[in-house]
Amino acid sequence: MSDAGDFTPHTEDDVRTMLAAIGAAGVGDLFETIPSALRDPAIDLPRPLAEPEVARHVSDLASRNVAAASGANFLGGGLYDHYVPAAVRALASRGEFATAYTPYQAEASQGTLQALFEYQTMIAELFGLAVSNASLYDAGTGLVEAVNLAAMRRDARRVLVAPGVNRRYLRVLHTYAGGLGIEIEVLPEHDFGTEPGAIAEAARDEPVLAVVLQQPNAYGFLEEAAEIASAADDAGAVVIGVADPMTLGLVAPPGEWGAQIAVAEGNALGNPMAFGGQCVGLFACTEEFARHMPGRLVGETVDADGRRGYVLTLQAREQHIKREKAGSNICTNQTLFALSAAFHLAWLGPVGLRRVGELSSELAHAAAELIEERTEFRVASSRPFVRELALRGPRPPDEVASELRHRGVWVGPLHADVFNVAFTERRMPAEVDALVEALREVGKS
Amino acid sequence: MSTTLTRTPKTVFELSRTGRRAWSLPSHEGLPAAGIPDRFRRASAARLPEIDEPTLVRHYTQLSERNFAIDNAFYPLGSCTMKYNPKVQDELAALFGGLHPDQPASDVQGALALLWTFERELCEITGMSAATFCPAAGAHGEITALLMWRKFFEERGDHARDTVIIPDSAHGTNPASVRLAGFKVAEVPSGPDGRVDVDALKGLLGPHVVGLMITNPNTLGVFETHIQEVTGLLHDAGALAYCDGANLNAIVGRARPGDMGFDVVHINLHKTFSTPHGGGGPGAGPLCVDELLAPYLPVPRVNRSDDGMFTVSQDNEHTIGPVHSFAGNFAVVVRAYAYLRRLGLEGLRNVSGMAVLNANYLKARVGGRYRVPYSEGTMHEFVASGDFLRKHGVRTFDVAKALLDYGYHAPTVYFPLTVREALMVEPTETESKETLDAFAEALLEIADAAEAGRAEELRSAPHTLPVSRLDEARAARQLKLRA
Repeated sequence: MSDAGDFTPHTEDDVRTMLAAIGAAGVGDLFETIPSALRDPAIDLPRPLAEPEVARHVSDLASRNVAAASGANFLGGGLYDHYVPAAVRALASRGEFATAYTPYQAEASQGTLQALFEYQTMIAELFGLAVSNASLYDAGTGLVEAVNLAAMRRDARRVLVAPGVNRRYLRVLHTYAGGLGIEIEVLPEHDFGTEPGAIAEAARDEPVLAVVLQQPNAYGFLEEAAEIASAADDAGAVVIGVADPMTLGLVAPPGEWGAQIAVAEGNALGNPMAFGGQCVGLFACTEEFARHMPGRLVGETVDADGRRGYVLTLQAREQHIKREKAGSNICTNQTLFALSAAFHLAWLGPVGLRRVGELSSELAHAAAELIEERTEFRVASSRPFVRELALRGPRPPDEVASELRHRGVWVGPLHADVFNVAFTERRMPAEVDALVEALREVGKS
Repeated sequence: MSTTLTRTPKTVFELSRTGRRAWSLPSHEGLPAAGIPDRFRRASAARLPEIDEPTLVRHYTQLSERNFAIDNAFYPLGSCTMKYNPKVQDELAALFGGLHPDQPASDVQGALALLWTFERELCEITGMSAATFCPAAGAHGEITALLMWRKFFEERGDHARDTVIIPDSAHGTNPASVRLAGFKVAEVPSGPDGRVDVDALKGLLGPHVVGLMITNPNTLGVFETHIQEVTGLLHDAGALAYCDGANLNAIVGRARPGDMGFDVVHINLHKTFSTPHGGGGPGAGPLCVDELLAPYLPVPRVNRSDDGMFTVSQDNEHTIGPVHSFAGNFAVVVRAYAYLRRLGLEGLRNVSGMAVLNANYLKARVGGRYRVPYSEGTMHEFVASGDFLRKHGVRTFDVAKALLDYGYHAPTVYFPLTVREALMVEPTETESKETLDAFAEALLEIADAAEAGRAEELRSAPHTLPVSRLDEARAARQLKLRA
């Protein structure tokens, strides 16, 4: 072994003794069932790096990035620059949570199981729905699972998607549509939102499986969600709501405006943006769908001595028991990120969650006033917004974004004629001023 | 054991007191009120806990102490590859925390360089042409590949193919993924040596077959020795071959799925590349594919221009589209990349070498007592049968619970389905001979106890954990999913 080392504890003496116990002459002998034509091909990889070298190498790669979170970051589109409390990071990095497997052996996994049970409770409360699961991958695949769940309880195959549903989630649903055997129809867009009348219109000819509505929508604006959900309900469709968890201290949750299934991107709860690589799909539904819900479920029970404890439950729905008859194929989920979400929600509590929403929203409204007063840009719609809003200006969005970036300001995502700016409790008033000033300059030129 | 472990812990909701708070948030002068009309506002507040930060940290720290984990226990969970997760990886992954995926490519050259380089290295390790990191888990890799197969045959106008063949020893995710992709499952039996029955496979092939999904080494821990014949038969029938790479740990650096004739393989980075499994996730299930399937890979794709700059494409002619909101579990990918660079080929070969040595040694220690039905050619794991204990009133389930009292996590039980009372043991390469010896002793003592008429003691195990045996039937019957 080179000085770089690895993580195996075997001494030469150990290897000798173990081989003797097996009755093999060398480690290579243990691979003889692999046909010789396949064994030990030439593989060209860089030399091993010792820990100080690998630390330097990956740090060097990281230093070739400019992190938006270190500056005036107004990027939104489902991933927002929220603050992750140090206590949350410390708890999530505990090896007892981080290096455990899926809690199949409940008695040896009460820590993960109880924390997940608390997570499920918090997510159900957040959405205003009956039950939640122990997480899915992200909002995009969460939407796929929501449609799949709806399809287990209804015969129709047609899914109506509101024009304000995040394009990324819609694209993921399109990828899966052929396999699921569903048809996707995007409703007409009216003033950066949905006309409630469009549902009845679309449902007149053919039955509808589900209506998907995002609140606030992908432009940041509030939809007439209750009215739309009611029209969807009249059409016999399952109502699927897409939410932004950090607005739910202020805004009516999916359960209040009439959704039966809700999904959301949970990254902002306790996780860094990480290039989109620490997502967690929040998922909740009404009692009607509970027993068919995808993913792991943690249930309360008692032990042989009558003490309260927790287990993975309703496993008979899942792939390892039901195989091809399972409703979903999910096995590994995003448990550690879900635990982080629970730690963060407990840190915020009901008041902190509302304050994050208010603070983000107050900054957004302050920015909107200043932008309309001092720049050539205008809020794209008169619909109310919460913490993200689309702006329309004298120049194409990609040019605007690029010029703002040169001024140290990030905005997006970009749409055909408008672009988003999003606000969180991490944005300082001075950064809002920088955004307004940069927009003033860019709008003039 | 400390008293905090034996006391039934309160839930965070029971610790809640109105008016307590951990939150700390800025307040700014002179901001306008959030202009949200009443009809859009939340009617009743979410009943989240109200708790101070010291109590919050203590509550979850105490819960964490009620977990077995790789950091505190031997965890020989078969098929799951629970090995030590190097700590440096966590520090390095955190360096990428502040990146937003909508930043321009010029902002994220380091992240893109990492993805581009790692893609090539994984292709080298698997013998493939191209790879994607978008799948967030192994099962997500499976469905991604099946959707690629779907599009591949659609574009060829070959609409008759609707069936995927799967061995009876396969992971449950395989058939579940097949169904989600809109295909049917045909099961091929294993032969007497635990390997796919090639004659039975021949009987299943035809113009309706999309492909075969197979784990190699398979879930019995043995290599499919005739794999080239199997993939050849598939290709002759115009179908494709998928390698479930859950067991890549056994052969990494020593044999490559691409050389075996597979068109696609998924790798569980949280297994072979040693990223922490988080109590159920995150994982990462990158797919490596041959040239035939490369055009169908999901977007986004990382490209390198002639000037050495990296770019990202969000669409192309043949792609199935995105399978994730962004590009998968990037934080996991960074950890796995650091692991690969740390080990190099020499280290990877030692991973498979010591993993296979450990499994064979443990089998030699317990195999005289616990029958191992498919014992020839064991690689990184073996499946023992606890069937011989049934006449003493003890089942594999009880053996698993009794092992917990020794401080060991139990092996995977009752899987694969082809072995009665299965105990699937995967020690991994990061365990020492002393650990394996002590674990073997524990298994033998449990068999002794059963044979000495102490069945009742085993049936009521565990005895030394914070809870005794939990009532799973009650949990399902009296469903309680929230506090």
